[in-house]
Amino acid sequence: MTAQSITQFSVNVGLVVVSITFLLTVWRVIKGPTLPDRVIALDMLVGIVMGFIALIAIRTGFTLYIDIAISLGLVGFLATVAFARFILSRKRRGGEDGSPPEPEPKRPAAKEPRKAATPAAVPVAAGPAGAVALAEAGQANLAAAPKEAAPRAPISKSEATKASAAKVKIAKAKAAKKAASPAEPAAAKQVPKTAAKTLSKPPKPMVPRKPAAKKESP
Amino acid sequence: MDILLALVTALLVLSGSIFAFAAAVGLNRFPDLYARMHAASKAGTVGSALMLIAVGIHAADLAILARSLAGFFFFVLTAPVSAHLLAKASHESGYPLSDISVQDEMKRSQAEI
Repeated sequence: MTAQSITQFSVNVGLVVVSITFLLTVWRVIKGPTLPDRVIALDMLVGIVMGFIALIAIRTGFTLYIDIAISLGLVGFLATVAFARFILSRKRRGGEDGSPPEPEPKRPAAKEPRKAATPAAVPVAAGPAGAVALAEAGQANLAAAPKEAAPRAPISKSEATKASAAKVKIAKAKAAKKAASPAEPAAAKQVPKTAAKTLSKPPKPMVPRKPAAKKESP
Repeated sequence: MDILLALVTALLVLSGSIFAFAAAVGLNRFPDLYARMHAASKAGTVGSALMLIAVGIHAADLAILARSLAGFFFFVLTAPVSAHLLAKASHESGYPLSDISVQDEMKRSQAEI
């Protein structure tokens, strides 16, 4: 077994394997459900063709093929970068990969329901929480507080719920979406605390808190 | 000496083609855009890079070896950059991860934009 036959054999085997690889990658280009899938497959096709050119260079002995491979790699890199910019500017189209089509591009669609969801979700969350606060305020009034505090209690509660609403809004979109279950105990925890604070020293903290709460609330 | 060079060349060619084949299998089998990118941009790059080095060693000429090494370094340095750009662009424009993926750490930064 001479050196030439070893090289020849390995290059032949390599050519067969690389051809199979090429066909598999082309299958991904054809099938790929989305545009980035096809771009990845094309990027890998460039690499496979570089390997192919290298094998041909070994087989024929024309080492000038290496320069062709280098320039092909350069072109492939630039093409992939350009495709990435294109994907970034194009956004995702609905229904491309069998998913239900979206009427709007993703970013505004993600922002809109968050704004709409928080005011809708807060009364739901504030309902039982407010009831808890009312009960607590009533107990506090009966126990220690002067009679003046009784009519003010609802105002302070609404303030507290507003503050908690702002906190909920700052929280993740997930929390806002699921507001019914996770936000409720959180609001219930926060509301009695703030209500108790405002009740213990009635009118003073409310006045500076009011504009701050109004700023943040929608 | 000739035999040794031929053996090294054969080893590089065969391992490079096997790497490329593994990359193609991963490209077809993985469930997800980003997992496919992981297969294609790592194993595929190594495959063709090994074959480029094989040309330089087979020629046994310093100029050709230098050129093949230049091509190797160029390809190995640019492939991760292009893969990262593509992954960032497709994640930012809303292509989802597959259902079986465990965590998406960039999700929050995307939601806060």
